[in-house]
Amino acid sequence: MAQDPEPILRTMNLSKTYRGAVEVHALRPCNLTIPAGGFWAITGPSGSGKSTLLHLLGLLDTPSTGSLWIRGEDVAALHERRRNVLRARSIGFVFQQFHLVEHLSAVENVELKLAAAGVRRTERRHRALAALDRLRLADKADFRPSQLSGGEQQRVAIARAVVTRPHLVLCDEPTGNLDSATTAAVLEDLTALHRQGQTIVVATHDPAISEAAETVIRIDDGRLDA
Amino acid sequence: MNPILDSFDEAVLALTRHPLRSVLTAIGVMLGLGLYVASTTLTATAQADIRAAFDELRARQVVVSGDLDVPDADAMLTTAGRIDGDPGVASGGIVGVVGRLPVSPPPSAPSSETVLVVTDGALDALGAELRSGRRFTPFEVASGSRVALVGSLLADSLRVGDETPGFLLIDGIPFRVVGEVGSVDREQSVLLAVLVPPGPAFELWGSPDRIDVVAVAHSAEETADVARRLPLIADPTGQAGLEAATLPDASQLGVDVDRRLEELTTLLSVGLLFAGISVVAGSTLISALERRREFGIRRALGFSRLQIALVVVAEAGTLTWVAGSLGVALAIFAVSTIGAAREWTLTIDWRSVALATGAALIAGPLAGLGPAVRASSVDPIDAIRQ
Repeated sequence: MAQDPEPILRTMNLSKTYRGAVEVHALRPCNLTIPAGGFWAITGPSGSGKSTLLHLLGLLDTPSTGSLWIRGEDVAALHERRRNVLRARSIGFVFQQFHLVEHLSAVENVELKLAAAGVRRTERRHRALAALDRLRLADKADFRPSQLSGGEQQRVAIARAVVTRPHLVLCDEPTGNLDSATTAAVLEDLTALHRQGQTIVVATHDPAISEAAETVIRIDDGRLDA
Repeated sequence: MNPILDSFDEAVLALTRHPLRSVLTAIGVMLGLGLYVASTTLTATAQADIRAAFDELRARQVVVSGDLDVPDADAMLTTAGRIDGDPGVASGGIVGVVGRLPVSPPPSAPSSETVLVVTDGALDALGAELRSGRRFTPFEVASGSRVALVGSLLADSLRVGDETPGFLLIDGIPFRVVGEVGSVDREQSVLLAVLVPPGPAFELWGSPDRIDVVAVAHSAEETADVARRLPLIADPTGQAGLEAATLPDASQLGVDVDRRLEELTTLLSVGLLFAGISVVAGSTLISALERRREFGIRRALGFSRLQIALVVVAEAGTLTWVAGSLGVALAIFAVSTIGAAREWTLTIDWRSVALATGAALIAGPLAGLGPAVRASSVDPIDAIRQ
């Protein structure tokens, strides 16, 4: 697959400091350039700053210093409204706890992301079902999260993350709550997405994911070691 | 994309997926608004009844008393005709007290009872309803027939109609009983008296001891005018010094009762509306707190604060609109059914129905505003970490 000349994501001196009674440097100034179609793993011990970095890259949090570009657009100081739009359309999230909405079915959970992205109501069901189908969950479309296994829930979450065809999928310990067999299946799904050209950044402890990733970066005490 | 339509879709979904909470909240709203409409309808009905009762019984009544000189039966009938013919008078006539005379159905021993002389219009003005028989015919009145009506209470005590149907001895003279007065709206003492037409009364006992003119005006507004005219109509010479009496205080009393009822209903209504709104606000707040994590996830997925607030407001609004409309409809149905069963003439206060519906339209989203602000301010990172 041809590489996009422009990186999907670039940071310059991006940092996060929590100010309170004690100042906590959750992420020290870091520089990263993630090319389109890359599969990156961020590893490091608990509390090292992996999630903080992921939240900054996913526009869930605002940096204390530095710049962040997504497809060339400086997004670090964007207005909240524009950050919402980018989060809805250009970024997909997969969380350790799946974070599906309990009272919605699998397909409705996937549709939620399309609603956030402003996709027309008539299109949503069709696209959500197609995304579930790609993750072998078409037959479970009407199941509620409580009726699905952990692995199935995480695949619904992956379907939700990719349904808008985002530029970037960020996964925070996606296999942290799964057994080894299910972990393998989820990893297979992520590598399949990567093969289709999806840019993926995973924060993980899981060596299997690190092995599958093209690039592994380690973060320790808020410091990035490329 | 239409965020408002989306919000309603989401609201319906959330409400149907949490049926117990939705039903309990809906019951609260239905009770609040339904009871409000029911109470205002019942109050309006009571007010109408009270108004009608005061109107019927008091506010339209005029009684003229004084030293009216009526020398004979013809004069009495002529005067009564003038009174009844007044354009402001719905019904009117003359009641004279002949006195207490021995009365008995033969062959029983006589007892001393009140004998009244009445004209037909006076019976109307008193609101007399017959329990049996008929009134005096024009022929009986014109020919001076010895006929009588008996008040139902007197008839029961004399056992008229049991042993000697059709006849009474009044002062030893036989009178044919043509009917029994079962009820009157005014002057309940009529039910304990014997009523005779003017002809035999004047022929046998002369001028009555006391003569009153009784009349009922067409409307409460006309009562004062009728009261002004009636003494002169009864006595065109003005020599008898007649005075008309109305009961203006009674109509004022009706207004007072009306006002107090309205104050009470307003208090009750405000309380019920407040209760309904509180139920929605409470339920929506609990829902918003329960769904804190969900709203955080939505924020993480890219939903704006406004989109999330709209979801909460739409949920509160939808629930209140549906439950409120249902409550109002059920209240009208219930009150109508009860009214029909109890033969009430219902007065549905459409203003309060409109107010309740309007309150539901506004109060629902309003009740959802606070929880909506809370929901939209959830930090997505906090929600994700939970």
